[in-house]
Order: sequence, then C-alpha cells, then structure tokens
Amino acid sequence: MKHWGWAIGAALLLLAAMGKAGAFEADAGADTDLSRLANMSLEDLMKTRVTTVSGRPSSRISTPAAVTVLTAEDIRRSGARNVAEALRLVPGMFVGRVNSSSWVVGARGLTGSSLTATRYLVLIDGRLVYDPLVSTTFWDTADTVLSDIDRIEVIRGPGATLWGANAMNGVISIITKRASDTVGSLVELGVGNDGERQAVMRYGAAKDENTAWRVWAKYADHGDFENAAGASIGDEWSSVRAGFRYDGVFTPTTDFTLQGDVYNEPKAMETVLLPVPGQDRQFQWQTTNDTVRGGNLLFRIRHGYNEPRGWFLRTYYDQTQRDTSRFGVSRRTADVEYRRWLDWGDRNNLIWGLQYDWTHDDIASGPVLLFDPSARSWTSINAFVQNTTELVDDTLFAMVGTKFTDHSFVGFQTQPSVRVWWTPTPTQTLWAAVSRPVRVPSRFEENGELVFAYVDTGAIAGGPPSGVIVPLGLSGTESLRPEKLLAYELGHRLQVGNGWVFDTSLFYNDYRTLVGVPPGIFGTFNSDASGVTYGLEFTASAQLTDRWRMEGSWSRLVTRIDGPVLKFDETNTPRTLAQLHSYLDIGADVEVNASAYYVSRIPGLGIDPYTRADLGLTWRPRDGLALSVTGQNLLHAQHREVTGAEIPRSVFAQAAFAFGH
Amino acid sequence: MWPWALLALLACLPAIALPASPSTDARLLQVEGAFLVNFLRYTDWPPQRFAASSAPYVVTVVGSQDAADAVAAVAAAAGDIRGRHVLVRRASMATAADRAAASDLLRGSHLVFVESSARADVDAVLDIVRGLPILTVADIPGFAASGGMLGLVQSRSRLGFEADPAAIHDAGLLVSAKVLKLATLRGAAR
Repeated sequence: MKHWGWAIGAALLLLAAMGKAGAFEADAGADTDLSRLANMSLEDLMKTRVTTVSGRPSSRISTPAAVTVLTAEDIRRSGARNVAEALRLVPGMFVGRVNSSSWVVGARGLTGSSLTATRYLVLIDGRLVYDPLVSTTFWDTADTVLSDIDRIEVIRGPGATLWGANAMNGVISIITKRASDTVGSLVELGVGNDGERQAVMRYGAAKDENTAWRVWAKYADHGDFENAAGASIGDEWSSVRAGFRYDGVFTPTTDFTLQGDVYNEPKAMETVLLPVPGQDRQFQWQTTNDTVRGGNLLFRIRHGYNEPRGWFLRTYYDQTQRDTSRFGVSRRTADVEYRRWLDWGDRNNLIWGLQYDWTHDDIASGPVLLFDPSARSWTSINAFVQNTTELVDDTLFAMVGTKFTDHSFVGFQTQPSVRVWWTPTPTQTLWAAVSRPVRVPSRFEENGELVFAYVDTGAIAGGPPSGVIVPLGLSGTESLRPEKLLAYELGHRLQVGNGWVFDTSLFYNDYRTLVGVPPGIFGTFNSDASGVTYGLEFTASAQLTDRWRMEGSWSRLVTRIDGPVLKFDETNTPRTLAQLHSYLDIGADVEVNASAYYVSRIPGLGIDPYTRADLGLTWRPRDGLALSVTGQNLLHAQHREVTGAEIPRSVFAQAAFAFGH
Repeated sequence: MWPWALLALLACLPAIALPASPSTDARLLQVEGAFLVNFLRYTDWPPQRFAASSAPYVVTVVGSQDAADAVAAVAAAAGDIRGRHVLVRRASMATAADRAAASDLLRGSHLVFVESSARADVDAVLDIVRGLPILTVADIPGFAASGGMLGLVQSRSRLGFEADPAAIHDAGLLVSAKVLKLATLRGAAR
C-alpha cells in the first residue's frame, strides 16, 4: 500500500518539478502557442479546446464524491441553533445527542462514544476544531453564529487528498460568509421551553465589495436534561462567544482575511459518577462547573482565486482550555498551510501544498483520566499533491493524488487516492474512488489511562483485602500503529426533468488496522483490530412547484469488527437512517418547514428506534423582521439518542431584526 | 528529513515549470481570433475594397478591449495573409459620440467582428454595414440566422461556426467552399 502512494506522489512531483529547460517555460510557451494557433487550419481550430479543466463551472451533478452541501438556506430552514444539530440534515450522518452539551457525530460507522475516536475531521474556515486529545470534536465549542455560515460541505468518505490524516470517514468543513455579505446590523433573540435562550448580535460594514468587516457576539443558554426517572442529570450550560472578520485586498487579484473569536462557558455543569481513588470500589457523584474557554486567530491570503493558477497561504493560532471533573486540558495549536494550483496542458489541473501543524497540551489528570506524560508537544507535517485530468472531453475525468504525513506519533505515512468520474450527459454522473486514508492515534490512545474503578488487589481476587489499591482501567500505549483504511466508493447522480435529483453512494471500507480495546475492556489499547463496513446512502430531492421543495434520504450501514477485541463498534451505531424534509413557501412572507428523521435501534447502547419530527414556521411581516417558531422532537415527550439522557420535546421562538443594509 | 526538504522546495516553486493554460476567456478569444484570420485567408473581396495591392486587411472588433487585444495578438502572430498585413482596431458603441465614430470605422473595414460582450449592439452594427462588401462575424448565438454572415458557436469545449451563404453573396463577397463546407448552413428568412 505504501508503494503506490509513493509512486503516485513521485510521479506528480516529477511533473511539478520539470525543469525550465525545454518547451515548458510559461512565457515562451505562450508565444509559440499563439503563433501555432494563428497558422492552424480551420479543421484543426475546430478541434482545439477553448475551456480548461478548472475554468468550466463545476456543477453539483458532476462532483465525484459523496458530498452534501448544506446551504445557508438549508441551515436556516432546519431550525437548528448550533452546528451539531444542523448536521442532522446530511444523509447518512448519525447525530446523537449525548446530553445538553455534547453530541456524537459521524457517518459510515465507527463513531465511537464520547471518549473514543470519531473518524471525522471538522474544520471551520480551514481551522481544525477536531481535538486530537481523544480524536473527537467537542461540539459545544465548535460553533459560531449560524447566520454567518455560508455553507457546510460534508464529504462522506475519505476526504480527498486535500485534508490531512484523520479525515478517514469524512470531512465536515464549515465556511463562513465573506464580510461583504453580512453588512448592516442583525439582532436575533430566541427563547425556548426547557430553559433554552439565545441572543445574537452582529454588525458589519463594507467599504466596497472587496473590503469589509464584521463583529459579532452570541450568547446561548441551555437547560438541563433528565433521565428516564425524571431526575435532572445536571448538565445545564451556557456559552458566550464573540468574534470578528476583516476582508481586504492587497492587489486586485490578492485578497486576505483576518478573523478570530473567543468563547467562554460561564455555566458548564456536569454531574458524573467517579471512582474514589485509594478506596476499594467506591464511587461518588460529583457535580462540577467545568471551565471551557478558548480563542483563535486566523489569517489567510489568496492570490488568483478562480484563476487557472494561484496560491494560498493560511495560518492560525488556537488556544483552548477544558477543565472537567474527569480531567483538565489546555491546548495551544499553531498551523501554517501553503497551497498552489495550476491548470496545465489544456486538460489538467494540479494542486499541491504543504502544511505544518504544531500543538502542545498540558493535562491535569483527574481520578478518571490520567495522562503520562501530562504535557506533550507534537508536530505533523503534511504535503499533498493532486492532479485532475480531463481524459475525454467533458465526459471522462480522473483525479490522482496523495498526501504525505510525518506525524510525531506514527512517523511517515502516505495516503493515496484515485477518483474517476464519467459524465455522459450534463445531467448524469457515475463516479468511483479508491483511497487509503490513515488515522493517527489520539493522545488518549497513546498516553492516557481511563480508570473505571480503584480496587484492592486482594479483595478483587476474592481473598482478604491486601491494602494495596490499584486503578483498573484501559491504558494507552505509544506502540500503537496508525489505523489504515482501504476505502472503495461508487456513486451515481442523476437529474431528471426540471427539478428532481437522485444521488446514490455505495461504499466498502476495509479497515486494515484499527485501534482496539481488549475483550475484557481492562488492559491496554492495541492495534489488533480490523474490520469492514459497507453500505449505501440514497438521496432524492425535488423542486415540486415554485414554492415547494422536498428532500429525502435513506442510508444503510453494516459493521463488522475482527480481532481479539471488544467489538462495541458493531452495535454502537444505528444500521438505518432516513429523513424527509418539506420546505414550503406560502405567499411571499411565510415559510413552513417540516422534517422527519428515523433512526433505527442501537443495540449496544440500549437505544430503541425512534422517529423525530420537527416543524418550523417563519413569518416576515415586513422587510428586515423575521419571526419564527420551531418545534422539535414533536412526536415523543422525550426519547434517548445515545445515552440515558432523555431529549425532550421542545419549542423555540425567535425574532430576527436586520437593518442598515 | 531530505524528502521534506525536497517537498518544501517544490511547494514554493514560483515559476511553474509546466505549460500553463491561459484563463478560459483569454483562450476563447485567441481561438476566435484564429478563426477570423482563417476567414480573411479564404475570402475574396471586390478589388476596389483595397486602396493598393499592399493595403492591409482591416478588421474592426466591436466588443471589449480584451477581445480586441486578443484578436490583434493572433493577427500579429499570423504575419502576412496573401501578402497583406492585418490591421485590427476596436469600435465602441457605448455613447452617441462613439457610435458616430464607429460608423466610419465599420464602413471602412473588410471584416467586422461583434464579440459577445457587445451583443446589444449587433443589430445596430448590421444596419450600418448592410449592403456593403464587409464580412460580418460574431460569437453570438443565432447570428447567422438573423442577418449575420458567419457565427461562431461553442459546443462541448470547442468552436464551430454557422454560415449564411445568401447574405455573403448579397454583399458581393466570395467565401471559399473550403470554409463553407465546414460550416453549418443557416439563413435568415426571406
């Protein structure tokens, strides 16, 4: 496997490095090109291409991957108040609310639980919000003002070579609007039953189309959830977040962005049952107000956007702190990425780049989670190269690429990927892809210890207490190998008539190496697991009338884990997901948005199948004012999604005022 | 670490060493310019349209400056055509003053090319040159079916063209059969 990654990479880099000697000098090429063109016969001219691979507008129909793009409109109509909830719209995506402040999010299985890995990369404007501590995303902090989101691109399946290690099962990329699109003032105030409240304020101004800025602040307060017995689980939380964005230009073809935000959770209650250190199998409930805060700053400069050649540089600094009753971690990350792209030879488009990522954490161990070493810095260096070729005019394309990663934990890795797509007509595409992504073990899997209980060595063996108390748990090890996946994907997209689009994706994931947990759960993480997942996702969407659009999807997943390990991933995810949405406009001022979601049983977590129904009404009595009421989980007073927390039926009302634009 | 040093070096190569393609628009205009050169090569004008045997072909482009520059660049690269240079100039129909000047420029041309950004001016241009031995070409859909002589059309990343032989004949021009046989024949309703 390593070898074909090397081969592809070497071939592409060789192309990129072909010397100035010979006919490849750009300017000289242009002149001989014109002279050749001017002397060409009509017959030859009629065979000459006039558009380039990246010059043609790319359409949704021809995208060679299982991609879902949630537009700002989709997000608004979903009634979601944060990013995690908005992701429910993605076909095949399992979004399970763990409690008031955390979610499990992932598609195509192996979504783990709140402490184990989810194999989905999450980025906001290119900044990683996926935490390498436990290889998961803390969704209470991966958030922003939803009205500032331009789109969320979700790729189910190994992120095309462009994203790094850990984009194994997919990538969620949240892209915010340019500041010139958010000019004026916006105030959103909302309140729900169950103690949910939200206030958003944003102000933006633009000097011209290219120079603009905005500042914003978001406050959200959430009530606590209950368990089946009706007792509060003590998870109420609130968050305050504020940020800014400035867009400008250095030259007409070079634009830049500076953006940043800070956040804090004034209230982050958590009630957990913890083992008491030094006591034989003693546990106690502990309620804490966790500390969660952080901030980040990002700068990006881009030259030749939408041109056949250009480059891009992005750098950011991110700092987070999370102190809970189980552990405390503060992390600093600095990242630089440089990328170039180029159309060459009439039929090719080459993209390549280099990224350097440094992160440092300081962990205060708690009774449940211990880390040794408690502070660690590590780096990962990524280089990628990807070439897209138009093999047959307008109809057959191939993309070949690879990523090279050098990560402190696992050394040098290659992640090759090949994609082919055929668009026999402008309304139909058939695509296929083979990729070999990698996931680097998390800090927890390398250096952590999860303590389930403290026990007396004598008593646990059935004899008299020996007085020696040891932790019984699951430990990490630095000898873990990276996870390797060989992913096969096949997809078809068809547009029929004026408004129907059908999208099908099939996948077969051969996990060659997986991080596993010993069958008895106590012991050490190992690399002895492997597995297979396969399934399909089907989406249909239709613009039924001018004012009425419907979308539906259905997905199926089969998971099998092999090896001398605990096979919790086989039963921790639902096998079947389905959803149906109806978006109806009545007159010019009223919207009725209805959604239904079905999630099949999750035997490993004891969750019964459920259907969730949401209904939202929005009324715009006058320009700049929107009043909306959203009811969620309307079918059941409460239901469980992942854990014992009962997700209640809820109603949320919001007023949005926009003025000055 | 040497693979990294190499990769870092490659990632920063400023002068890209591959035959870079021009942007789509520039490419399209250049190919259209090459078509115009061929039309010049294979069309006969009445001899009195030339002041002397060395007088140049005059091509007037109605459209963007980029279009005029692209056509001029290709014409320059083509050199002499049947012993004559090619003179390319631009006429703008933007203001009333421009239109007055354009009228003279257009009437004094051998070939007039209306580029798609000036599609609103097509009818005005055809009115000015009607009846004169001036070859009218445009890259606007439907041109050859509504009074124009040669229309460039794009299909699946390539250019082809349509011709109205009757309009060509009525203007007193002779376009070689070599060219017409490659065209899709159209004609305005009479």
